[in-house]
Amino acid sequence: MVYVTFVSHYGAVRFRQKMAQRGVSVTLMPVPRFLSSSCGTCARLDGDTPPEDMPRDDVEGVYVR
Amino acid sequence: MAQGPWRGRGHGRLPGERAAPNIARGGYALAYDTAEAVTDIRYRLADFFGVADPRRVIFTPGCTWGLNMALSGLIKTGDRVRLIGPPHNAVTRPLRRLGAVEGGGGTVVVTHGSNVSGAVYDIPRSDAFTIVDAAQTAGVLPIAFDGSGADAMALPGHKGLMGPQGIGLLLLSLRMAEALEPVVLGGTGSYSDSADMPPVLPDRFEPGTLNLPGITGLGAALDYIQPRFEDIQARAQAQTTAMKALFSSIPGVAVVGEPALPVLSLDFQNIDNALAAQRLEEEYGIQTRCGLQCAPAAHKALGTFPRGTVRLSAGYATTDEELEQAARAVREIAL
Repeated sequence: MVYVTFVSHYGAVRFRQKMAQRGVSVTLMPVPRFLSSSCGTCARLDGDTPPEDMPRDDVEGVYVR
Repeated sequence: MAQGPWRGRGHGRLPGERAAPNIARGGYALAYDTAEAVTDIRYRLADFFGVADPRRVIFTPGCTWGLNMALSGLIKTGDRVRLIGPPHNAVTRPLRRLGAVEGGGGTVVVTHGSNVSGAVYDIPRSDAFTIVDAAQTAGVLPIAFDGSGADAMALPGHKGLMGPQGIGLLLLSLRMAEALEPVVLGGTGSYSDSADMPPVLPDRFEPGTLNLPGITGLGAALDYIQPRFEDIQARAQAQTTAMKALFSSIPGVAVVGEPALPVLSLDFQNIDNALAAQRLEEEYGIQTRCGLQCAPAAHKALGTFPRGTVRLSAGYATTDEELEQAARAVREIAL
């Protein structure tokens, strides 16, 4: 599973919109506590590798778990 | 837990009548979909007002709040402020509290359109920070914020933008966003492990629960305005011309100032202005605002302090015939 964290909720929402434009479905969810204690929204992608053309705007970190 | 049907389908859908999600808080699909809808509205507002980065479009509870956020977050005691245009109390009261000193250089505060006379004042190009009160002009005049000279522009959702009350915007330049201190602090649903406000926009200036019904209403209003904005501008210009022509030649009443918006103040010479306003409503069904319109500084400049004026304003739907009816009523009352 790939988790993408962002500097803002806004960034997470925009990420999902941009991924949808690429035909990739992502799930927004609360940031897992083992990744960050700052709360916020992250994106969860199926698979073990983030897409190469994944938008990077406002991305704080990419984690594979 | 938020439950209930969704209105619309897919991303950006809005909650139905049984749901009450809170964005940037709730960790469920409806909250995220609502957040996307809010983001879409933020994008469209940024496009409408010429703001390159929608994150610099801050939702506020109204124009007064936006002005307070800009003034109080930037100006310190003893700072000099240059005023352009007659300020509303939403400007003068915060400045007095802050201990700002009028005159000289320093921050420029522009009243883009007078809520008393309808006069319009240009935004200067200045190295100084420039804060603009666009209460009367947003949604009436074309505004291209980036490059306008403004660093902060406060505006209401319920006037020219035709949205609901209780929602407004504060547009920020990049340099203002970096310099401005948030004056209302609280939860943002982000950086929650920090004692400080988030450094990112829009979170930094949007603490607390956003007015989602207001934002949604503003989005719906934009749906209406945007495709016909040229017509709205033309209509406002025509109404302004018509109002000046209709009301300027009436004996016993003076048009105050130089209106460039369909906002016009009348000063009755032979009857108390409040009595005139009451008669306009009771006898003719014409609703006005009488008094100082929360802008005593404007009235002092216009020579109508403290008696105030009777203010008439026309909206997009106001017809030529209604303006003519109002002029006939004013003529009868002014005698």
